[in-house]
Parts: sequence; C-alpha cells; structure tokens
Amino acid sequence: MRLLLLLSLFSVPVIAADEFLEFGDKNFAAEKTGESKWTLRSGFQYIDYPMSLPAFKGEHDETTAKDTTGIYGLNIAVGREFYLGAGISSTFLLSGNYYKSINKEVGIAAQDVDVDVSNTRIDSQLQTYEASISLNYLFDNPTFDIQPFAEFGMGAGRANIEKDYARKALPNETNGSEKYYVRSQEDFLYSKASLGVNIIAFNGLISYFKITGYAIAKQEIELEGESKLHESAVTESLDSTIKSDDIDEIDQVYSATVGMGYLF
Amino acid sequence: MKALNLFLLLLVGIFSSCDKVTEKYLFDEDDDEYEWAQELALSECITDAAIFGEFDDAAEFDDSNFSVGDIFKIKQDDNEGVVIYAKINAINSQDMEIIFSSADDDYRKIVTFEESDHEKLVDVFQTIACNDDYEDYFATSGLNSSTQMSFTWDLETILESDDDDDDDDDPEAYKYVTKELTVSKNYPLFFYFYNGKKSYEYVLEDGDEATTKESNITITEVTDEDECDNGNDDQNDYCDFDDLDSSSFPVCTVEVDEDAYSSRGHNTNIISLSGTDCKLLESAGVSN
Repeated sequence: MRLLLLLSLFSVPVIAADEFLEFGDKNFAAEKTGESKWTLRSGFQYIDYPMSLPAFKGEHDETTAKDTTGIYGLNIAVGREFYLGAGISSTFLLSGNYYKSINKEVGIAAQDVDVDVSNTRIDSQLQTYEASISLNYLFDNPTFDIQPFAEFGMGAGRANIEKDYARKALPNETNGSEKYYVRSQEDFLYSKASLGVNIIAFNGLISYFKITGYAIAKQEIELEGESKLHESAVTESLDSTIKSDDIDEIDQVYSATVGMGYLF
Repeated sequence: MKALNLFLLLLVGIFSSCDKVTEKYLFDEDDDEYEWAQELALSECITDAAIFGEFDDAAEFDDSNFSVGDIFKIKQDDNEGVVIYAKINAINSQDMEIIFSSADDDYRKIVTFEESDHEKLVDVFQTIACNDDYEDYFATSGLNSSTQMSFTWDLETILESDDDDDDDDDPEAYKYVTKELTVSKNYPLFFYFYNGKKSYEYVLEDGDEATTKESNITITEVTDEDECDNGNDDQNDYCDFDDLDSSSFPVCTVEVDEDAYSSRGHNTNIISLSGTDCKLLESAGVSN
C-alpha cells in the first residue's frame, strides 16, 4: 500500500520533470487557460469515518453508535477541465479512493507497573468510487495561477472495519477478562460538496487542497463477532446483517485532502 | 524544486502516520487493581523468561542433567588463588550430595542440596528479576537464554551517615558489596555463588581512604580425567576423589533465605550452609 502510494506520488512530478528547471519562465495560464484540457490528480486524504459497530461498554474501552475512526488514504482522479470563458471553467473527474489505517491503544496497568492489561485495535479499510464536477475561477498571476473551486460529487463505497479489544483477567478476579471483537462490512452511497484551491505552475503542475463534507447513506452492514463483559461468563455473538430499511440515519462526515495533479 | 521536495516530505510524513499507537494508564495506586496488576506483571515476566522454564525443568533431581561422578572446578583469583573441586556423590529424588575438596581445609565439606532448595532459589531469582520493588539494587540479564541468567546485586551497610557540612551526599563510613553472578543450569543451581565477580569497597571510619577488593570466581566442569589423576600438580590432587578420604569432612546443608533480596546489608546472602565448620567461600574479604 505504501509503495503504491509513493509511486503514485512521485509519478506526477516525473511527468512534468522537463519543465522543473524552467520555473518562472513559463506561465501555464498564458498558454492554456483559454482552452479545455485533460487532468490527472492524486492526493492524500483524511476522513473521520463513522463506524456502525454494536455498542459495548467495557472496563477500558467503550464502543458507541457515534464512534468514528480516522483513516488516511489516497485518491486518484482523471477527467477534463472545460473552459467556459472569462477565467471560469468546470472540471469533471472520475476518481477512486483507497484508505487504510490501523489505530491501536495499549492500556498499561500504571506508570510504575509496566504490564499491558488491555489492547484495542481498529483496522479500517475504505474504498470509494465517485464522479464529481467542479466550478473553478482562475486568478492569472505572472508565475503561478490560483484557482479556487467548488466541487460536487456522488459515489459509492465499501468499508471494512475490524475492532478488537481484549482485557486480561487480573489475579484475584473471577471472569475478569473482557473481549469485544467485531468485523463489519458496510456498503454505502454518498454525495459530497467541497471547497478548495488549485495552485497551478510548472506548465500545468497543480497542487491542491480541499475540504469536503460528505453525506453518507449506508445501504447494508454485515457484522460478525462476539463480546464478553468483565465479570461475566457469557460470550455474546454479534453476528447480524442490517439492511438499508433499518438504517434511517445519514452520516455527516468531513475530510481534508492535499494533493498534486497535472493539466495537459 | 525545494517547495516540491518539502511537499513530498509533508505527504510522506502524513502517510507514515497512518498507523497510530497510543498508550494510557489504567490504574492508580489507590485502586484494588493496582496490586493485582503488579501480580500480573510478575507472573507474565516469569512466564516470558525462558530461563525460568529451564530452571523449573531442572528441579526434578531424579531426572537431573547431572550424574554421580560429575566434577566441577571452582577457582577464585584472590585469597591465594583458592581452588575447590566439587564432585556429585549421590543424587536421588529429594536431594544431591556434593563433596567439596580443596587444599584449604576451610573449604572441604560434604554438602546436601535439597530439591526444595532448588525450587526456593528459582523463586528468589524470579523475584529479583521480575519484581520492580527490587530494581534499585538488582539488575538481571539473560532471562531469554536457555542456559543461564546473570544478576548484579548491590549491598550496603552505612556505618556513618553523610555529614551535612560537606558537599557530597555520600556516607562518611560504609561497606559496599557488589555481586555480579551467573546462574547456570549447567551446574547445581546454588553454584551461582561460585560463578562471577564480587567487589567490596569500604570506609570504616570517617576520613579513611576507601579500600576496594575484588574477587573473580570461575567454575568449569572437569571433563579431562587426566586432570584429576594422582601425580599431577598438588592442586589437582584434590580432585582425585577416588583416593580422597572424606570421612572427616563436615556435613553441611544448603539453606536458602527466601527473603534475602529484601535486605540491604553488605553481608547478606541468599544461600548459606548449616552445620559445624561449614563455610562457602570468602571472596573480596567478605565471608560467605
């Protein structure tokens, strides 16, 4: 995954390598602002994804319906920017996104008792595919151009979340151990709106930053797992499937993206 | 170009933070669980340390690694280079009997080492290695070894406390003993006493110069029968156990002080010998 991301990251500047030494000599906007062009973009994104895991209240970990998990990922987009006139353009993009993060929390007994009593791991993977269109305005400057934009899009995705929490039984405790293990697969649809800015230089090389708000409607959630509470001898199954009819909430999620691209 | 590199570094930095590990502390000293967690820490340390499993396996004397007739050579570099030979004379399911022979009368004896004392010693080593309460004066290493572990033990007797009028925080008169010893499953467990270095530093009266003494003790298994053949040099006469008359040797039993690790006195020992005229070994000027 890291290799793929790095390769993608480095591919963009390599495309424009010939022009690197000519920074300031050529102004991209002067040549191509008045015409439509293709674009390729790649960026890193952070999203605070809302998990839909069964509730659990353990001694050292709690899971609620409102829990989110922060995930980092890469997006790759291709599309075309259509010039509309007077510095205004519209960009249509098709993009794919892949996110993966592992968050671990280790519960150590005490500052002077160095033994792990509890461990929590949340392994999150997210894949999304979307189509988006943006409205851009270009501020033409001598060396680089600034292009604020507003973007709207729709897409579909799948999230695979695994949460594993375990607490060891301490000496003198009866049924002291705790366990919460659940794996969920969630399919969802979403719409999004973004505000951002492109900085265009190097004869078409773009750096961009955007903030996005998502409205996520989950379609189906498959859950698999089990839990056991402190001082309980009973292990409960968490296996279930939740269909869209039973999901009436739309989750509001925000993300930030920073990336690079190329106009050609 | 610099801006681009900076940007790439930023992205790599963001990416490398994808996996996040955080830690939190769960209990305060006031919580009941605090004490239980200490017990858990001790138990896990002992379970994780491979060497204790080896020592536990060696606790069955009737299935011992040692055989009757095994001879070990103990050599100390001071005290006129004392050499002691120890031969396993008998083993059964309760104890083993070891004959100690030396040119020095003080170190000739017949020692009984009971299986229960082996177990007590293992308990002691587990405590000094795994109980944080003793980490200020015990340091251990080699816990993951399958043959031996080592420990350092700092002991002290303060004869005269620090004088407030001077600039240092050191006592005016003291006896400091440091033992750096190795416990090996290749020897009967109490032989750790003969395997390592012992240092003694003392100032008996305020104003005296500090005196330092040091003893290095090594132990090896005697595998060459020629070494113990009569007719070789004088020292080696004492490992010719076939011709040795041990009938007059004092009979001693190893005693394990299971609480010795909580004492700080410079002459504290985990093991001692009970019986008349039973003496382990004087090292660095400190008896036993």
